[in-house]
Amino acid sequence: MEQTREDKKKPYIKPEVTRFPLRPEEAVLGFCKSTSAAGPSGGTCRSTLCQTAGS
Amino acid sequence: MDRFFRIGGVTLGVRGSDAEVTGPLAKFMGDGLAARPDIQITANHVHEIEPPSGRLLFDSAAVWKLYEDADAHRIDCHSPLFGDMPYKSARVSPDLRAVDVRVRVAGHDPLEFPLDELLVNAYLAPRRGVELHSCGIIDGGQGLLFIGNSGDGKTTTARLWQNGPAEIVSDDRVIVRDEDGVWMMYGTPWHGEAEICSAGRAPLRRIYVLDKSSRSRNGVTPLRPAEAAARLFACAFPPFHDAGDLGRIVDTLGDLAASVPVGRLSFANDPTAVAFVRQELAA
Repeated sequence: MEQTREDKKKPYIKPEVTRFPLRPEEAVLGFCKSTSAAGPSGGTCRSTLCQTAGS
Repeated sequence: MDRFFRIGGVTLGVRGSDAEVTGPLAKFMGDGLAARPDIQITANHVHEIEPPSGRLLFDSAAVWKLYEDADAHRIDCHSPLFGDMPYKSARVSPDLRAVDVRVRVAGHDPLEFPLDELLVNAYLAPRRGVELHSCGIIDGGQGLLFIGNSGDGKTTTARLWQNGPAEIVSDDRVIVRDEDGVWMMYGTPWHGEAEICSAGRAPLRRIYVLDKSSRSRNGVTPLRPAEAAARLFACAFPPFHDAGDLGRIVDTLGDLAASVPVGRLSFANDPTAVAFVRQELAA
């Protein structure tokens, strides 16, 4: 049986506002994440200048 | 000699650097990757780097700043170890294909953080690709993405899956790309605390938003695409300095959320979490 226009209507869902936490300090790539070998020691961290581990 | 790296399906060629490539980036290195890389980087060692003459476009408030530079862009990288003068500065062509890097520090790899990540992210933004703060796992050929900010459980997740047959492509940052209608997931060298990464790739089958509110039981709640897209955006690294690319990232994430099932995952910190996800995938 063919659907009527009325049948195809989706149920109304009231819009709602949801807040999501943003972490700009992480999102802008401001800090190196590899905290395991900070400094020029090498190890698994490939940064020779890593003094800025954060986030 | 030129060196080639392939990250997230993007080939980077590096010329003029004799710095030893060590650590995670070495896993992404290869010979003869492409006659013409997507991004060609030319490095030069210098003693001084002049102050930028162009307008400041973006300040990360930490280790890098972006400036206008005539008809190109300039990225200056700073470290407290080297005072006010940038320790390296990159001139980036508008199409991102040519990058001239001047480095003041002997033996410094020109591609080293944050430049590698900034370039790859910028290249992907208009090409339906995005880097996500997430743990990526390939299990039985299927790509699974566990997204979350710091402290949400990415490292914990990586360790839970580490002892099985699954391949962990990163415990912290994963690239996702739409490749001719197939969403692919790529490992990156940018690992987290667990220091796990690989150059593996796989079709993306599921995205789980890590939920640490209930750490005692396993459960998944499907998310509607709008909420899923917002959650993805909160875990992305968008180019805030470029309104056009910012919009493209939002479009990409919206399409991703509409194409790949996204669910909120609560999980117990034990092997039952792995079994639960496998069961959920098989259902």
